[in-house]
Amino acid sequence: MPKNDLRSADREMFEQLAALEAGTTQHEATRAALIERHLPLVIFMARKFADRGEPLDDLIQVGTIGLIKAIDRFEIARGFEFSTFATPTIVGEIKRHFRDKTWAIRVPRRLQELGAAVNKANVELTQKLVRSPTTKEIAKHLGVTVDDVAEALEANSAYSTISLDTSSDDAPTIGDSVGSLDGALEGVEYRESLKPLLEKLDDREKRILQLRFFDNLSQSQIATDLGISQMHVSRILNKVLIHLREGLLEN
Amino acid sequence: MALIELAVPASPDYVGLIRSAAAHIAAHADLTLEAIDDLRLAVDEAFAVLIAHQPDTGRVAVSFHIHADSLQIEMTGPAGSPKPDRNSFAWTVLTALVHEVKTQTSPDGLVTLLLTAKVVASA
Repeated sequence: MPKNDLRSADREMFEQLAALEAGTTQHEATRAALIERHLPLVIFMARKFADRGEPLDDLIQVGTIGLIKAIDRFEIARGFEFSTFATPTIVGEIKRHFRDKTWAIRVPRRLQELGAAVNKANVELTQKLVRSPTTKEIAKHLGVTVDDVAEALEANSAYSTISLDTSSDDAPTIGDSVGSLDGALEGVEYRESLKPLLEKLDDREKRILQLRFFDNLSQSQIATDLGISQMHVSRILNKVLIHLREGLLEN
Repeated sequence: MALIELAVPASPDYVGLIRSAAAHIAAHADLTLEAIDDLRLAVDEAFAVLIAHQPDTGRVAVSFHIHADSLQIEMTGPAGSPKPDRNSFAWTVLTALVHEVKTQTSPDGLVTLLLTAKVVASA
């Protein structure tokens, strides 16, 4: 369908919705049709946030809440395109999910924002320096103190604790890492107890474990290799180590 | 050169405190963010090694030595904590996370893990 037709179809549906009385079956049906029609926009926006430790399904779900809010608030008379109007509401809802739901400990807003700024500065400076930046460099870049940065890092790690629980279903699968990890474990004590624990890890977790501890690649090298962020690598390593440590202790 | 000392009960409940202290001190010692992340993992691992099979008795003593070019963390376990085997998975993990890992045993049998993280020369 050409873009203009799409827009006029949108327009017609919204006019219809406005004319119908809320609560009626017809109103509900039109509203549902509008939601369904714009779901691809939600999916598109949710994908942009997919590499931050939350399952894509959850992001689509909260994004859909944003979409519904946008549909209910949209006023055709103001002359905006619906997608232009809905995008900030959808993104806002997804961001709010990260802000509110994924913090293991309630972290003050100021620290959450500083944490986000530190993460951003980390990415920028890593690119610029071609190595991980120091806290001093981050502090200088942001115009804050080293103490602020240390505090923000601490807050960010509270964030990672919960992100650990999310599965990596959406992860790209990395094949044939299992065999090589077995090889790497040759000569490691208790490898018989380790093996069943390793089998519970997904392919990506195994791969990261091997690259970091047996091939001695740095977190950022692994991140580049796998196309994910260094913070994500750090979270996965933490999760994997806790899993293995607890498992070994039980034996 | 600065020295910071802490001692906590040999219980998993206190590893978070040591980990946070290590991260904070590392931030002031001018380690990179990545090295700080690695150090947090290393402290977790070392603490777990030292309190393995300890029924929450005794204390873990931790001292942080901040040098111009490195941060050294000395962790001494309670009486009876095992000396980590160089073939263990924990040892593999520790040696990958910091620049150097050493063990010492005191005359009265207390095991110490020495972790050294290097400060990168920042431009």
